[in-house]
Amino acid sequence: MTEKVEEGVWQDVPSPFCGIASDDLTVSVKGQKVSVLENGDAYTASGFETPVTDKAPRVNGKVVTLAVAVEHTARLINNSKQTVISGLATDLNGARAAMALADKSRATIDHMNSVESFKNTLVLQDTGWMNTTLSEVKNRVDMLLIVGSDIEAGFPRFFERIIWPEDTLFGQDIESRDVIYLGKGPSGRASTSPEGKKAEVMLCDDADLPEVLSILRALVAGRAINAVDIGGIAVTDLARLAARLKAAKYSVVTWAASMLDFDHAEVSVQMVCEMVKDLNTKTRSSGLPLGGKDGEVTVNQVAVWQSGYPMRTNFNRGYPDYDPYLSDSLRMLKDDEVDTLLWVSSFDIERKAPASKAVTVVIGRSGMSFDSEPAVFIPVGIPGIDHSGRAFRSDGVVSLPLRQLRNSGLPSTFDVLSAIEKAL
Amino acid sequence: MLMKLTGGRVYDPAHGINGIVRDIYVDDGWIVDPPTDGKVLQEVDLRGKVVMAGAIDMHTHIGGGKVNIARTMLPEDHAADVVARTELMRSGCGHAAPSTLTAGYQICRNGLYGRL
Repeated sequence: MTEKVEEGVWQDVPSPFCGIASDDLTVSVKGQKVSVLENGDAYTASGFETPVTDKAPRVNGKVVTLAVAVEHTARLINNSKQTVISGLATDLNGARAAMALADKSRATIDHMNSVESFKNTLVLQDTGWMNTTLSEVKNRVDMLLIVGSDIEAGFPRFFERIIWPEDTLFGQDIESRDVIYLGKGPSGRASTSPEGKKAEVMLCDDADLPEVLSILRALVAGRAINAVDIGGIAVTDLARLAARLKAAKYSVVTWAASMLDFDHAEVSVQMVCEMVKDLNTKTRSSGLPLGGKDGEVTVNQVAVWQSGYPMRTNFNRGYPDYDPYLSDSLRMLKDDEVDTLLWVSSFDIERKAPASKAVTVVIGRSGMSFDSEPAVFIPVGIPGIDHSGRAFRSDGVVSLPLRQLRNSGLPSTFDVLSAIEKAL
Repeated sequence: MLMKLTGGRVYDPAHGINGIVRDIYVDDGWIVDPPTDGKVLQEVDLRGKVVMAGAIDMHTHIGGGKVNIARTMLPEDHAADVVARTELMRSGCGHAAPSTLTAGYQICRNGLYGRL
């Protein structure tokens, strides 16, 4: 649990920025300035250390009080025929307030990372999967197969915290763990074991990955393959990989949807998930989709339990109506179907509203700048820094409490969205 | 048979013990005072371990992580059973795995977690 060890220094601070919610940070707070002293990484450091600048809301570029900004936003939404509430980089209570507002204002909800997260969601909705949690992987994995992803580029501490921990619950020798990349190779050395055992790499282009995965699944199922090589990988090498997956006691197949940057990657994710299910007839295997940044897991969890559906749901008819194609906010904005866009982005000042013809209201992390000034800008505090809260981790079912580390006077996303809902 | 459980970190909310490292003496299934002569027949080393009373994990399956996975898997089930927003109640949906608010309203309405 987060503890203040001396004046201005907090230990065991969880990071809402890193997706896998590393919770062992040591953070110092001097006035408004936050610095990560221990266990930071690129995402965490920038997340904690980006300074507060603007504190005053603006309407059409002019500084106003929060009450005026809220009133103005409520009026915009009341007069709007097709409101989209998106971005939604926030924590649990921010998500709850967004859902309440969407329900009352008959808006469409989406998240800034939906293009990526739907590569996983569509699979869960179609044929399901057998996935596991980070804690189980840490304690049990004997073979880690990494599909189409350079994990450490997006999750710098994944290997250190999950694959090469100091202790595991069942006393497994972590040097016996095998790490294999299929598709992309690693950009750094995080996948090398503490004693220098390097990961194995089987490279292929994204364009060939879907077929490589199909062949791998077929080999696991014992089918005869006529092809000799696929995308530069020898089928005999894939056959050896299939045999090792079948011999492993707890293989884990992992991927980051954000790195499967090709059309209909959900079909490849499904292929992997079906292969994992096949493996479970004789041994144990689990999938591990990695994500969880910018509140994407939190907001999808809240949306699912409150409405039944994940993102890309609209309340136009007074009840939740889910359509991942029609209610794709990026498509809607591109096709000029949106008159008002309410963009929530409280973690990363670089995650800005997409450019469009919609009147745009930004509820954004203080410090955000704009190419084109939005109709309304309300600077807000960051969950886990400026206010306490809760965030869900990449593996979904685990949530972590976030603490308030400084007094910036900035309102929370929950405060602002609730005020807008009241003013409607 | 007198047994000593040595050096565990004890959590016993019923007696206000919150993480104290101490010994516990057990005799024929009962927790007893330390023996006056200090003699025990069996000692169990619990240093570095946590000692708690058995607990009952009271919980429901309305808003938990696994039911949420179920909800995510059932979009067609929800679509057949939508619940519109009213002046007092939020919208929702669902039959096999209703949304939480809908489930809550149903429980209040007729004390049952199920369809009307």
